[in-house]
Amino acid sequence: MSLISLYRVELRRMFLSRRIWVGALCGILTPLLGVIGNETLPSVSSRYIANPVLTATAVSAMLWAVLIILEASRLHRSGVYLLTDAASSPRALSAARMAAAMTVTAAVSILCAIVYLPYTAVKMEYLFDPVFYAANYLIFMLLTGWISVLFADTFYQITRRVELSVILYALLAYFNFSGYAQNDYFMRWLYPYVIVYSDGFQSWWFLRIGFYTRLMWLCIALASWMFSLLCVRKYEKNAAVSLIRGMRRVYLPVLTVCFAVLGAGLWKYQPFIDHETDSEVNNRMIDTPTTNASAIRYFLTAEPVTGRLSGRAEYDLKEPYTGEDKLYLNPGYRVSRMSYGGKEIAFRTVDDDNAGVRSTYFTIPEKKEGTLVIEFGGLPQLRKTHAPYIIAAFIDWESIQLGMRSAAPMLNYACRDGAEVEITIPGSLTPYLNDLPMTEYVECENGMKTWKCRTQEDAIYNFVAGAYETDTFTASDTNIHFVYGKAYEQAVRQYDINQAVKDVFAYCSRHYGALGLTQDQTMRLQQVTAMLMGGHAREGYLEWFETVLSPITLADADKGASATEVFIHEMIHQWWGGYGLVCSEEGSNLWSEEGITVYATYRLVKEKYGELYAKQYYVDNWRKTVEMQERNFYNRHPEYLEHLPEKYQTQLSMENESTNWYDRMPLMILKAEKLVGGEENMDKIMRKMYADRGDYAQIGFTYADFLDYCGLSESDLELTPKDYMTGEEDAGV
Amino acid sequence: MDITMNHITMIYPSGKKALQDVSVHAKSPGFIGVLGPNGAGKTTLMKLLIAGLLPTKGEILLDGKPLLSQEKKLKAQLGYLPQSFGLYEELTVWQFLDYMAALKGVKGKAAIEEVLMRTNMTERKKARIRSLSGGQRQRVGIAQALLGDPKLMILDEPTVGLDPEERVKFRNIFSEMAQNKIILLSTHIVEDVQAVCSRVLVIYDGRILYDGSPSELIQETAGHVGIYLSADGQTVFDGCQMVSKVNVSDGIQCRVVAQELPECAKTAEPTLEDAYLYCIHRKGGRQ
Repeated sequence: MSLISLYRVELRRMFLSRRIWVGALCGILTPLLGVIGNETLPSVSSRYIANPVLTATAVSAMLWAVLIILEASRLHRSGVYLLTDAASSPRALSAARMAAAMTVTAAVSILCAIVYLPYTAVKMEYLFDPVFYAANYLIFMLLTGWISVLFADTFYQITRRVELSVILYALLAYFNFSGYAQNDYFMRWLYPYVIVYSDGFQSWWFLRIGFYTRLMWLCIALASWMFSLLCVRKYEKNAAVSLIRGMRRVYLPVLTVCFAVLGAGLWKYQPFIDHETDSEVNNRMIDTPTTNASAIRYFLTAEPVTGRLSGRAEYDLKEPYTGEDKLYLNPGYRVSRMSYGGKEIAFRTVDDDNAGVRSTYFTIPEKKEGTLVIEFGGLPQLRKTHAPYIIAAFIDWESIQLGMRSAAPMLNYACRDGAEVEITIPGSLTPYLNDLPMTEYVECENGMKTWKCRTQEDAIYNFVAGAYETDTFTASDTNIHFVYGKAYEQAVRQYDINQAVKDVFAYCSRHYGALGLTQDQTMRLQQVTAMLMGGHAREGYLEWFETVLSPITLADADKGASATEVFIHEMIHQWWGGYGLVCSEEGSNLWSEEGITVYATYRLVKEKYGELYAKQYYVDNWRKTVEMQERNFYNRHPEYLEHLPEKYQTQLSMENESTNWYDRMPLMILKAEKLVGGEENMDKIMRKMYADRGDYAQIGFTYADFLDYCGLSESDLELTPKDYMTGEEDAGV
Repeated sequence: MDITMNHITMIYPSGKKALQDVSVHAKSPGFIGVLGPNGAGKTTLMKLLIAGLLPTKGEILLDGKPLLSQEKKLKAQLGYLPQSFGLYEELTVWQFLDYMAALKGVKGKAAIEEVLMRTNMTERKKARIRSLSGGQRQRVGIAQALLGDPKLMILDEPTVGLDPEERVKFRNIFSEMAQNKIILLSTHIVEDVQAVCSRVLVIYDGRILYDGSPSELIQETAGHVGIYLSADGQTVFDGCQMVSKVNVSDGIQCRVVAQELPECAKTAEPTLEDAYLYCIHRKGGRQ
């Protein structure tokens, strides 16, 4: 009987099994655990896709594992195998049973996707993308289900004991959640890693790495299962003898080795994360002499299907450096060809991607005028020490983020005229190069567009592209270009976000003074994908978090200091920090631009929403956090700190810094406000600070400067328990 | 179909010698009864024939080729009923037979209907297996062995748990089926073998003591079966193997087999049961 016929038979039998139906029903319910679980995720895609899918992935995979072990053991415990083995080969039956089990898990995964589709679509409203939604179920739940049943059956086929198989499986599942695998995309075979999903710009990068890791584990699971198939008992022999006899069927050990090699190869040569080590310096500097280029041109193509970038960089040189020179690229890229003056030149790439760069060495043969051409390409890799939290460079269907060595080669070349850039990207995306919009483009045949521009800088520091909309309006005499994802258009209209932006500009201009901007009085407020987990600001340009506009944030009236206020906070940084008053953190682990910005945000919120709201969601939170900091054992007894592992020392240090910046300092400024005579006087002081910002542009505005402006001493602002103990309503603040 | 066992010795890893230098040849059509006490090696013999065990020594040939290289062919033509077996409890009788038919590559509902009818399970075909009695389960086991009209049927204690009427019925079914195939019937019930088998194998302690027709075995026993009445309570004589003891009004009527009958015994017409016991007693050295 052919394997396909056996598969049909086993599948039909499984669909007649009540246990399988109960398992399927439980499997379909598993996404509910994710739906009612974690509600702190910052995007609706994370909450309504990632959370249910990932929870269902892990829980249903474990469920199927137990079921397959019980199903396989039942055959032997009941003695049915005496009949079935006489009718067919036990190995073929085992393979058919596995194929049937995989079909059932696939069917349940697809059914889950169908069942939860209406709920997810309703919850996600205008941000729902059915393709992305379905891909999550297929890549995570379905493939992990397969991996899980393969491992479970492996353990049973080798041990033939239910309890031992369950223990072995539990150990493997535990490995996924252990410290070793916790922050590693590749080791998490059961519960895949997704930090956050973007709502407006999608997050295919996670699915890409998710699919890759599933494929890798599937190969490993298949290898182990093939091995266990060799151990299937025949002629009443034990596992070892069966294994030896099974080896005679050459195709089985060959397949086992092939899958094992494939799995190991996928792990070893994964293209997503570089291999840097913690101890390396983060940013290498090129130590060769600076070469002046008369022109620099970059021609880049971002391929959204594969996530790869291919490009060519051209440098017109009059007096090239003829010693051994080097260039840096993202470790995921390779230089494919180099030429100078039309002639090919030799180069060697050193696979020392230890510092988040891959070095390529080359020598220009003679000191005469010519054009250096470098062709390169690859998949931008994340830095291992930053992964999984910082996803700094990626090419997706609806979002592209590249910069520095992820966009083009880094050489010690300078060009006064900047650089010409041509970049081909999906036609639906709007690009921004070095924080400025690109305006000229030509349509390509394949739905892509090639954008062209000249940038003032000679390198690509930041390239962002997304499916953007832009609203232009005036706020306090400033032309605002409010750039947001097309997916958020409805939210922008519904919640009148433009008005919120105007409010911030009005408040800050009135209290602190007009914003220092570029000469044309223009400011771009640009939304960036949630995957970046951060943003940056510079003169006339501010990136803001995508989640500010998510339905969760905008509809959550109880949240208080909401993401909208985070957006306000980021905008206020235009006055306090960035290109406003620059603070110097030197000599202080307390004073920074954050404290004063948090205080200013609190004031704006107080004016907008009232004193009670501001107290509850700002002052009380500051107090609570500072109180926790004061109560921390290691803060009270720092002599014990050194006994802690370095990891925890660093963690505590980071927590303390965050508390100092975002809670302690605002509380101290609030105390200063009382001491200087109230809000009005504090506003006057801050207006003067802002007006004098030019004096501090180079040296930075210190805490001592702040105290001088307030006419206070350090001791005046030292916090006492009364200042931060919750419940001490009449405290100094 | 032609199946041959040449000088088969089977020693289990525990050291137990289950079969010793056993040679058997069977050709269709043939209905072979396998008789022997518990632990004699009957089940081992059966398992070897279905390629469920590997012999320690010797070879098994199917149509002249080594059995291991003919496993697919064997399984395609095999109807096997083990001594003890399990069924998928949650399935109905029909579903289970349908499953087994599919495993065996037997197509069509008619084949299932036929074995249901033969095993008298038609009325219970929609019943869940967990709801069946022991006898009904045995009938389902027989039904699955009958599926597809296999060329080789190996039945290890098939009538265990059946009532006498059912037993006779199945005995006759097997007899009918033996027209064009080889059937190996292992049983403790000598009567069954006598009724239907054209050939009998007597196994004892891993050795074949007798391989021939039941009538020849009976003939060999002629003059070695005796009946006597024991009035004084003495029922056992040296060198005698007791076949039966029946309490009658004037004592205990004993039926024995022996190389030399006691003087008090009258010779009696031997049955296959007598012959079997005599064979074991004489050739097996059983006391």
